[in-house]
Amino acid sequence: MTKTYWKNADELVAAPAEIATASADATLGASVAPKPRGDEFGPEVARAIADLRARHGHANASCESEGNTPAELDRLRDDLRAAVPGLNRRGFMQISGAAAVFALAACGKKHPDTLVPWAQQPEGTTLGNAVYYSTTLRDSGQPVGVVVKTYDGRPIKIEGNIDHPLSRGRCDTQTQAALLNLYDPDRLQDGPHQREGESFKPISWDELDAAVGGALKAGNVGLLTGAIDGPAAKRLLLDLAAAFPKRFMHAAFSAFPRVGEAQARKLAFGDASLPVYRADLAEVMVSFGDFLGSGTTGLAEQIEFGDLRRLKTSSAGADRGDAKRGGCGQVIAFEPTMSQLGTVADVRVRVAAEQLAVAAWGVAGAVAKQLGIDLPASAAKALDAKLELKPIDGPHADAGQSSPLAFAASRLLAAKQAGKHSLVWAGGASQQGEDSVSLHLAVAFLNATLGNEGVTVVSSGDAGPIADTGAAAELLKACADGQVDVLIVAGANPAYAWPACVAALKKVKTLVVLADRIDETAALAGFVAPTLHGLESWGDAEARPGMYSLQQPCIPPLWDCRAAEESLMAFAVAAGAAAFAREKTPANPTWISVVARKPLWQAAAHGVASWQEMVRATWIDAVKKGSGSAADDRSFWNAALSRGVVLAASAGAKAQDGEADTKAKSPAKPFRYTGEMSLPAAPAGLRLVLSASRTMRDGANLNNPWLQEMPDPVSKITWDTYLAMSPMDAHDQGIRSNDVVTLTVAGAAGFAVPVHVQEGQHPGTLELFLGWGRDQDRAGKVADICPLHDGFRINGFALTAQRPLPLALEATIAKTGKTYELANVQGHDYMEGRPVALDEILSIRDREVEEAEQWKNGTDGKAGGDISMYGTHHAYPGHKWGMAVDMNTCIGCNACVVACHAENNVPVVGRDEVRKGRVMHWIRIDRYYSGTFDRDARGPIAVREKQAQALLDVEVVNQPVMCQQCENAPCEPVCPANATMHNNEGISLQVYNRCVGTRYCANNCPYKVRRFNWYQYSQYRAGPVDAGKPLTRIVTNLRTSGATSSQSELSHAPLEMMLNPEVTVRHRGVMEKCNFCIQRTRTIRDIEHGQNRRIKDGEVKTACAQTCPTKALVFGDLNDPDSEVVIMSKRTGTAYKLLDKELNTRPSVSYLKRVRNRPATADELGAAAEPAEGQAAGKSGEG
Amino acid sequence: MTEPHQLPVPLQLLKRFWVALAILLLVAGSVSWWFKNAFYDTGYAPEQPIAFYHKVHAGELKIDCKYCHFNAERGKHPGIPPMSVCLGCHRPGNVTTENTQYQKEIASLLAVAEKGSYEIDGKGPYHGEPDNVVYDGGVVHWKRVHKLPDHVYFSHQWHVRAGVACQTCHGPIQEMTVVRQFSDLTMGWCLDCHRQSKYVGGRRYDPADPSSFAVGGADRETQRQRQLPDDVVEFVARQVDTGKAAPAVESHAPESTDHSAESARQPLPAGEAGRATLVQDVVESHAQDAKDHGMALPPELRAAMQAKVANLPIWRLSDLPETHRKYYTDAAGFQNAPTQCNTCHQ
Repeated sequence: MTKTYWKNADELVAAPAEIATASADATLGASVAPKPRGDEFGPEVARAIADLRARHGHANASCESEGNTPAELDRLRDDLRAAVPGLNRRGFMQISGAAAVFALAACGKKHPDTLVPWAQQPEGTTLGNAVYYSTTLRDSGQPVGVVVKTYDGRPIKIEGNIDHPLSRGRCDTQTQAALLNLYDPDRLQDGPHQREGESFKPISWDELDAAVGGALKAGNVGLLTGAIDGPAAKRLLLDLAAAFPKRFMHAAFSAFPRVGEAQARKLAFGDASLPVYRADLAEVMVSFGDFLGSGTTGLAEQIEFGDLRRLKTSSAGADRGDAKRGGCGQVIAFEPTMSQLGTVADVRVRVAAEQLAVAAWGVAGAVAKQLGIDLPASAAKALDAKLELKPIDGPHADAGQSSPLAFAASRLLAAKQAGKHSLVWAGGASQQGEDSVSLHLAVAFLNATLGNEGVTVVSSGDAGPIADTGAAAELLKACADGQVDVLIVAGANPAYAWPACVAALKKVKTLVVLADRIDETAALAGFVAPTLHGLESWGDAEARPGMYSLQQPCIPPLWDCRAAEESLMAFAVAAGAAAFAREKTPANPTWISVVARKPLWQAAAHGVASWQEMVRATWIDAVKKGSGSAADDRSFWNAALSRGVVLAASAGAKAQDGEADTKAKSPAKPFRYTGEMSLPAAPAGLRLVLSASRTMRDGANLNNPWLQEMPDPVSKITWDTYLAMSPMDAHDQGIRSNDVVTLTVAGAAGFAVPVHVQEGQHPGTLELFLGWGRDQDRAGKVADICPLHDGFRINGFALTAQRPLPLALEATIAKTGKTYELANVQGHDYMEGRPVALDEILSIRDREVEEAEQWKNGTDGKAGGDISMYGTHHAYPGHKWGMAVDMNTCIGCNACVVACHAENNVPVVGRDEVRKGRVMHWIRIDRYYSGTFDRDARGPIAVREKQAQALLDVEVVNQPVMCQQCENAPCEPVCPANATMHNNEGISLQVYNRCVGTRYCANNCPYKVRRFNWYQYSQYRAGPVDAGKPLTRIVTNLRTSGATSSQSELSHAPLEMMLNPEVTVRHRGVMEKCNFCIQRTRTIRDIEHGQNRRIKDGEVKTACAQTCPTKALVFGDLNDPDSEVVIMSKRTGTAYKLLDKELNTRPSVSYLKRVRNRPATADELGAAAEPAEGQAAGKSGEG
Repeated sequence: MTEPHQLPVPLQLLKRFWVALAILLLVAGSVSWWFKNAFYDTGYAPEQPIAFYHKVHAGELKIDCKYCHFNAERGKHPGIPPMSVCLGCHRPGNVTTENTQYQKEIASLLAVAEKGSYEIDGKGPYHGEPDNVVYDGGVVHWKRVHKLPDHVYFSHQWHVRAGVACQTCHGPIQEMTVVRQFSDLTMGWCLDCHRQSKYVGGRRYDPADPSSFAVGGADRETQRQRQLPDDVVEFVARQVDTGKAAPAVESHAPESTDHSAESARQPLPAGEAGRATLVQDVVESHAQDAKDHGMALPPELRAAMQAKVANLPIWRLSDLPETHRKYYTDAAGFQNAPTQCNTCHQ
């Protein structure tokens, strides 16, 4: 049995022939047979070849095997002739000659370029320098404090706000990608619309206000919004309620309501308010769901989880060069599917979805037994329930700990006894229903018993946000009962996230939807008022009690839209509410929308209170008081605008990014529920779990190409959703990844969906992701590129009328015999069996430290002497940039990938190009599975079943890989054009205008980080459409658009406003790659030069290192011995460099091994006891 | 026997050698001239929407280049001056608007600023081409003359601070009526200077010896000193250097009477009462100046601008002394004036 690392192992499970023929000496990852590339050129080229052969009278077997009929071939030939009529050799020469003449002639004329100066340049600005604004954005309802970088008034990048205690200068994936939503050309652009039959007609704002105001004058008014937490927003809500006395109902709607959690806390503590979970204050975390990608947790949770996972150092000074140090927090995950948390958990326990509550009460029972506390009587039956869990491997001091439940309980108790805290958490899209209350009760019981309540679980009480804990369902029920006359929906899309409520929405007499596009809900509306993006409008938020953050516009409105809050106030004024009426003032003629160039709707000109004025008044009134600020109003307001965040006196004491404050934030409450609870029935057959998409969250981002192309953190699939299936089930049913199956759920029609066989998935569990499958034309053109899988858009929400979603649905699947190629980025970038992603066990690390001297390399000089075939020795007189990657904290969230997109103008290539391995990401996160295999045993089905079994309990390493900036870079000597070269700061440069596209460098790069621009991707919005069929594509486009690219696929205004002016937009035929954000390191010269000082460590960071929520990427100067990156790179035993020992490339990037805080298995202990032998067996690949 | 008219082609050509050579030279000359222009754009001189005469401003009036292109010594781009800089001198009622020689151009400028457009020969927007927008947003849309490729990082500020004259790269701009591209802006042209310099990569630069770093005869410290961030005190101190007041900068006054708490972190140099008076004088003369000329702006635009000034974030104003702040909030004169410190405090 050998420990093995691999990326994709679909074929391991269900490909008998390939497994049987794999050679016995296959090294790491090679047990995975490379996927056969049947049609290297795509079927069209194959067809064209077949066509040629047919013309010459050859019989063509391959043509028929493609399933081509003679009629199809004739059609293709006709297509070609129509596209390029009469083109023979002579014609070709004529055309190319003319083209050459025209091309040269074009050189003589300089395209006139326009320079537009400021009318009046704002004080303090310098042309060419960015201006930053602090503001707040929302990521599926959760506020994130950000700083927006703007050039000439255009936001070009979203970064974390360093002053915000929940952002700490870092930012998550979805919030960064919100930039693309701002410039989305599919937004509603031309003012409000009114329903006219089946379609909408544009009306003016005055007409809209008059119509809606008239409807609001009588009858019951309903308002459905997203979560509301800001003080000004809450005050607006109160004012609206007062404006429509006794006939106003409000509810917050979320695609993932936290109903079960609120109910359980109501039962347990008598307080239904939703608490805040603080992983950073915990030593041990036990999770019964996906803490990182659940759709209800966000950036703050990710950052705090990173604090939990980070290897604690004894002290900064003593740690230098010394590997003996403290441990790291421990994460124990119980889950039915392979979640994002599961990839980073130390101990991952597979449990069926319905048995999570039984497992949780099992842990609670073990804790209670040790502490001598009684369990609630109704929970005791959970202890009797039979639960088969894989025992934790390895010898333990206490034999009773091999059960995962007892192990988790002992870890929790150990933390309590040590005076530390722990965190028990449950949640996720499908764990909020009636059947999850018992699970949440167990969580509440554990947290209360362990003393976590008030420390790591902080109840916010009345001060918390107005979130969806069931009120939305009540409001929609009132609609269904005909009790609501006017329903205004703002910032929510119930028709998509709960299709069953469409009937209720249709019952409402006047449905007004405030949305940025005609989405599923707006399509039902009588009136649609386009709203502003978060970067265009005012607002505020209170992310956690006492943490107020302000939202300010960073660009004037692009289109003829108005803020949702101003729409609400304008409606109220039109309905006669005096509270929002103001004196009319003349409109400011200089206020026009940026792209539409139309006069903007101005509140003051219409006699309505402006939302900006409301926010300011509330902040000066309430927030200033809460913060205890002594400044005058104007200074307070300007300081709040500048910092973006104001901390209340109570919350202000919280330490930022430093030593955690473990004092109780709220008084601990005893667990007091003694009533009955129902435990879900044990599962039978296949069960379908619905989870929030880890990339799309609630589906609002489906039109965002960056997020579409961002690989799923676990499966690494882009551009599509899929049905995740356990290797055991796949083996039983003979299903492989990319097979299309028909999924049938009780009570719903079956639909076709491609399968991805997911390592770690519990047998009997299927997983489908929510947030996909928006209706045609509702999300936008990029979302509509999603192909229809047999005519059905894969919308998991449509599978059940229940809300909140149940734990699991009964499901059946049937093979269709078809396949669909999911665009999986891990199909390429194999590391050819070399030791790349390494991990180690915390408890036996000390031994590894001793033997790790051999890893000493890089800036320290190599142990084996500095022998190099390159013969070049670079001098780095100033800086030498380097990076350290802590794989222990990397959660695979891809925030770095999106940051790189925005910073470096990295284009999106589209689904077809991803399938060909042409993805352009300069940084990627490789996901390696590791597990114990008997790789020599091959052949009989029983063995393969055993291997499938082994795929169930895998461990994962997430490894961000960017250009390693090698000192002996293999790419550099092979370039015939000297386009890639080394600079004196250690960066391997790529000179685009020298590159002639030989791609020798990419072939010679051992890390596969170089990207070739095949199509001039920057000119496409989401990559060339149908690039998988190049000939058909060109023929069709020539016919329809008269050009080889169709107009609809091209990027167009205002998307170009998003480009970073500091970075070249690369042309087709050019190689590109990570250059450590050279435009950022370049600014250091200006700073050092201008201020006559050496730069401080961390003053300038690459975009990826800056944004990483868990600080897994650290960037700095390797010439500065005190920099964080040097300290990290010197962690002997833990730090290593990719393939340096094998290739002597001397990378500037160091990797810190993934440290597993779990008991060592017998094998691992044995290897530790016999170093020589262990070295040979366990580390065979590393030598 | 071969007939003379049946001579092989080379021989025929040889007979007309001089003709052939002349044609060849002509062709070679035109091709090389055309290539130089085509690829390097030397001599490119587009017609601008409003004829702006550098010859008058820089040549005859001897206005410092950096008066208008103030961004050149503080940023990458030299910057086309904001309209407010143009109107600072050419504001309605000012003598500059009554210059008969350039009446047409100045009238166009004012029309752009006030009406957002102007007419040429009664043809409406610029030459009657609707697509050729030249006035949108109340500013002139100038034609770009110099353009470096995307991948070039070039910063004006270090070259200006190093004392490289504008004319070194841009040619005799003070003699140009229409601006044209003087240098070919190729990489080889950059290297011609940089190879000789003490800059990183230059022949006289020694990586081991930081003091060998120098550009244009200025060492690092001189360059740094040539432009500090907007700091009024610094500009006053320069006046001192010309001998108008004493040059003591070392000791700082604890609290000056005309300074509020915010600006106290940058107090005026101590001792000399004359220094504070100097600032006061400058400000008062500006206020008087504004009062004398009055405001010719339309009232709604003036109101909008006043609102803008009132909402200026505190960090901008706090950098200024009390007198300036008062001036900003009270007076209308600044609103059409250049808004950078060194446009007044040269």
